[in-house]
Amino acid sequence: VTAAQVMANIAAKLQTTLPNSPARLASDLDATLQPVPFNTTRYQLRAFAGPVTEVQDSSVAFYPAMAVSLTVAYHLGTGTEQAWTASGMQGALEALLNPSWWRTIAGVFLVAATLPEVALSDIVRVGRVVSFTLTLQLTIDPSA
Amino acid sequence: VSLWAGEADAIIALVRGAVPEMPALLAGAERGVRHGADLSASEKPHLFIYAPAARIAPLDWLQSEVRTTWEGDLWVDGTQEQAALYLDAIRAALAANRTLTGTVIDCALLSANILEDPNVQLLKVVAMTFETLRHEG
Repeated sequence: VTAAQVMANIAAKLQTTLPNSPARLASDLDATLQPVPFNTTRYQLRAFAGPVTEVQDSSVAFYPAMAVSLTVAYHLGTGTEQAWTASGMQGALEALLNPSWWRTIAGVFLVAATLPEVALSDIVRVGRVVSFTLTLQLTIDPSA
Repeated sequence: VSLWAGEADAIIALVRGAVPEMPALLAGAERGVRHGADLSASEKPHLFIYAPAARIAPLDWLQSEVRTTWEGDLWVDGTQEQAALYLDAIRAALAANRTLTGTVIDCALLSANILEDPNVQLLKVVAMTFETLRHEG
C-alpha cells in the first residue's frame, strides 16, 4: 500500500470510532477556516511518510515510517464541558491510544518508535469546541 | 425577540429583582432611552437599558467571542443614599447571577456612577455600564 492509502484507511476507521457524527475537515492544517458544527465531531489528519526504518532487528528490510498527527474537535452543543471530557472524550482517547487500534489498519505494519500519545496540554477548549491532538509514528508495510 | 432584546430583558429582570420598588412592565423599565425628566412619579424608579455595542473577536473553528456593552440608567426619586443602596443591591444581584439566568456566559458591571443635579436634588440617575460575554459558532 501507499502512504496515501494508509491515510485513507485511518480516516475510514476514525469514522467508525469517533462519536457524534464524525467527519474529516476539508483542511487538515488550519483551524480557522471551517466550523465544527453544533454537537458534532470533526477531525484533521496529518501524516507524512518519513525516512525508512529498519524492520525490527533486520538489517536488510526497511519500511517507510509515517508520522501521524490527529486533531479531534468536538462541539459541546448545549452540553457542559465536563459531560464531554469525562465520558465521550475518554472513550475516544482510550480507543485511539491503544496501539492495537492502529495495528489492525490495513497497511500498518507496526506502531514503531513512538506510541500514540496525547499531552495534557494538547487537550484544549476554544469557545464551545474541545479538541485534543494525538501523535504517533507508524511503519508502513508496502507489500500489504 | 432579537438576541440583543433578550440580553436587555435579562438585565432588566436582574435590576427588577434588586429594586423591587420599580413599577411593573413598561412603567418601570424599557429597552431604549428617553429623557427621565419626562417620567411621572409613578414610573420611578425607572430603568432604561440602551446603546448596545458589540466587540467581536474571532476564535478557532469559525467561532466568535462577543462582548457587548450596555448602558443602563436607573432614574430614582430620592436621596443620594437611596440611589447608592439601589446600586449596592444591583451589584449583589449580579454577583449572585452573573450568567443572567443562563442568558450569557458572564455579565459584569464595568462602571457605575450617580449623576446629581444641584437644581433638582431629589432626582438621581444611577448610570451603569454592563458588559455581557457570549460565544457564537
